[in-house]
Amino acid sequence: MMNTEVIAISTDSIYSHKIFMLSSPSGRQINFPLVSDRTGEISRNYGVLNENEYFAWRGAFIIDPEGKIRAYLVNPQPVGRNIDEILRIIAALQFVQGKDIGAPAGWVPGMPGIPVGWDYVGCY
Amino acid sequence: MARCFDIGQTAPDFTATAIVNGNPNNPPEEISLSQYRGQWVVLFFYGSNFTFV
Repeated sequence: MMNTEVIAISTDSIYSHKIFMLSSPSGRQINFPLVSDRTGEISRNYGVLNENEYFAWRGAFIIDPEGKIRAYLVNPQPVGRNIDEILRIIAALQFVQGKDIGAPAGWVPGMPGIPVGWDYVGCY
Repeated sequence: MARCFDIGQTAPDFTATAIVNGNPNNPPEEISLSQYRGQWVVLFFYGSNFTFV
């Protein structure tokens, strides 16, 4: 659909991942790669490693087909992510790509973009 | 905590062990972030299996 791969990652061991996928209701639904960052190196490189307790904060990173980070959002621990917002950002990035338009606040797929550029300075 | 990137910069590559294809009965494989070039990727970190939110 949006040519998007989802990859999940935690500092759990790969063994923990196996049992999580076999036994937990949420784990059984996982149909994308589940990575083990046992050493914490990847989490540290992305700035989400809790060095005291050695787990990763709840960070989501949107990476484009050229491998560039386009957006990231780190949630508080008790608050789950809003998947709709992550998908909305990807849809908006794809929508404005190669065009002189922007996706204003509240944009959702189906809405027009707004023209940007020198002629539009002060118009919004 | 220092991130070694900013918006628009290359995401840090990694190679790590993963259970791919949603099948935990298959042995894990090594995957790299760079093998997903050409696609959009949502890389999401979470704290711990078997916990709550």
